[in-house]
Amino acid sequence: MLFPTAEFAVFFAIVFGASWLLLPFDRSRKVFLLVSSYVFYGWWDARFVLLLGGSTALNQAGALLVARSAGPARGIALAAVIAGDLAVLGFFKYAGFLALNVDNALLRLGQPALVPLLEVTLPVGISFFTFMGISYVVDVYRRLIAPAGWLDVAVYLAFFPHLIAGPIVRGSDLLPQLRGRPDPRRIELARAAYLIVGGLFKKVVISSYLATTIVDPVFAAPGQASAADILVAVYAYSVQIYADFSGYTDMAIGLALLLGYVFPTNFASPYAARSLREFWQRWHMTLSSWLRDYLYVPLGGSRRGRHRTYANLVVTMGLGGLWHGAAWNFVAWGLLHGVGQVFGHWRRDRRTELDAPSWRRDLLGRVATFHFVCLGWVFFRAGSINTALELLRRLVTDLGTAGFVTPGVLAAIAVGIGTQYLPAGFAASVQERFGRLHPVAQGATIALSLAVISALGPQGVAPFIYYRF
Amino acid sequence: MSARGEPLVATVAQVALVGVVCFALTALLAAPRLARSAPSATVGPRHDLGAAVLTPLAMEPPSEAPSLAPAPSPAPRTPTPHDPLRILVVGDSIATDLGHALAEVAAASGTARVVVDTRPASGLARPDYFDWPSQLAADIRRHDPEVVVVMLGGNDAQPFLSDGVPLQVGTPEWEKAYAARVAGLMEIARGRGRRALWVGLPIMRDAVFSELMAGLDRIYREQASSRDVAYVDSWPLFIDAKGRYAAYLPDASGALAAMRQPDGIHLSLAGANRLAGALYARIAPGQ
Repeated sequence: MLFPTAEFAVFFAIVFGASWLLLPFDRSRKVFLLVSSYVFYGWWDARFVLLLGGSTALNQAGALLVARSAGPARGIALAAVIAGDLAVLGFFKYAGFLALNVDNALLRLGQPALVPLLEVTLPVGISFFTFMGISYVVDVYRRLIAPAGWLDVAVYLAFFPHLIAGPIVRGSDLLPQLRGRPDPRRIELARAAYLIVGGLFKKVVISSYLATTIVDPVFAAPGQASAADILVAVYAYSVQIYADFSGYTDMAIGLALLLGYVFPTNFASPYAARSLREFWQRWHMTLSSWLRDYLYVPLGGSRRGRHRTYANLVVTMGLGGLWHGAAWNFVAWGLLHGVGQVFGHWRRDRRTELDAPSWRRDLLGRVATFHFVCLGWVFFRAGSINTALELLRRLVTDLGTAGFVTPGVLAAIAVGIGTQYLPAGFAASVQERFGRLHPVAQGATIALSLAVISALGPQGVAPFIYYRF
Repeated sequence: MSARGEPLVATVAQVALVGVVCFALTALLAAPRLARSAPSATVGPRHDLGAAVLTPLAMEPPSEAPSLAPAPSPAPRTPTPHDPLRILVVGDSIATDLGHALAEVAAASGTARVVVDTRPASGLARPDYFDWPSQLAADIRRHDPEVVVVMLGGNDAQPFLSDGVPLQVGTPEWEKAYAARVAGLMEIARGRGRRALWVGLPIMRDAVFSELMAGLDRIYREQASSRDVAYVDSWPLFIDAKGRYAAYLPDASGALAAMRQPDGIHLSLAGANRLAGALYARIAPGQ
């Protein structure tokens, strides 16, 4: 089920009602949440549920084993579980990619293509729940949390608001909440409504509009686009992916709030970042902190000297790119960000004194960072590295008239960038005003907002970009 | 939660009330749009119920049918980079990938330009959902193409109403009615002196779906041959040496690449390029 559909609305209404009614029966309530999450997941393909159940069993059994072992056995148990998790992810996601590349290499060497080329269905959300499972077992190993009960862990991994496209919630965030009980008198309704309506607006109006009017046509057929088309299409895509992904996680966080659970934020005005390091502290925050804690730090982080730090950055970002998809253009995107981060580190390392704060330097930093990120998006969005290079080449050579740029496109881009620069108290004051309304007025406000969104948005529901991961 | 506290939180009962009001109002406000899309449900009891419940709520005036005045036919000529060959591609979501790939091929040649107007989930079976004859006529008037390429059918293997009678896929009556619709669209595409090409559907990963698509291809081939429309057979391009569905085939550079998207239906970038190359060779041989 996709979030912005009528069937999901009915599903959520049932889950909301039943889960709060079951509040006095803690165990039954959690079983209900688990079953409804499996129903949600199984809506795509019933076989996926087996995979999710299996992954849960592997990670919980591993965590219990790690907790009960001592000495080197702990490390061995941890390594085994991580290997299992990565093997599952590797098979479903990367086996085809690996096989294809090996076969093509063999063919170039004049050898027959030996590796069988399978077509494996990619289960939605697998990258997300695999990473969550790994974080749980590693946190148990590091003695940051104690292993939780089977039911709690099963709900933690399968909980439908975050299941498909994050945020990547840590065990230390959600398991204590599952151990306790949400408070039925203190649901954060204003924030939830703001996030859900805002998220829908970003996804349905901004993202889908930009995708269909300029991004898809230009990226699919760069040959027929002029430099101005390509430039605006790249800006448009940067807004599209932000609106799509942050819209989705906003809705996920809002839905979880209605059920009484608090998720971490995932985005904090990323295009206002003044450096690439700051960008990654504001974009897909749960992924970047996962990569830092479970990949970068174990590799040595920045504690093994400058050159090792640079290598760790490139490897971490490259693998982060690969996580997004089994294709070389995603790896290129990741490596580009890795090299960019190395450059930023190198500049900071060379600094002999702290710079005084300066609005000029901030502005330059914001513009430069935003454009570097846009460069990365060209590789992320283009179907192949060749297409990306063609787009970049035409950007500087083909100065024709812009066929795809319309006032509507420019307005949508401006709105998208504008959301990065909202005044600090804006969200809080909107939520407060909403909160003071009578419940009937609140319902009417939401309904009217949905009607406006529906009128402004294109027909039909396109899946969220990130749900493919 | 802010320090000012109380307006930002609510009880379950309040949230439930908000939800009920929101649902009721949304249903009322969305009725016109739902009424338009209710016909998209498969013909049968759900379709009739949806239409019966929502049409009175919608209270929308019926939309006017566009006039179908025939457009003047373009004069024959040799295209140049300054006056490229105007190609129009229409169809469903499979045609989208083909259209964009064809645009790339055309741009590389420099003597053709492609306009793509494709609509996901569309076809000829359900004009109540999307009316291709009207849209194609409007596109032809607007863009004045010299070549029209049509590719659809992926969404057409379903029952539809013909003069109020539901027809089931596979029956002779269904085939006859569908063939008539194909003929009608071909007439519009062909116009007077315009070149029209109809691209057949490729083999599908799912055997049952593949059979259905092969059946549609037979109808397209038949109708095309009697109407001076070129039929482009995509079937041979996506099979292996044994005639079976091939997920991986050599691309333009000779490396193996996935020809289809994960659903086993739509074309991947490499697959679309393969088909577009063959199609362009038919449209502009030697260029």
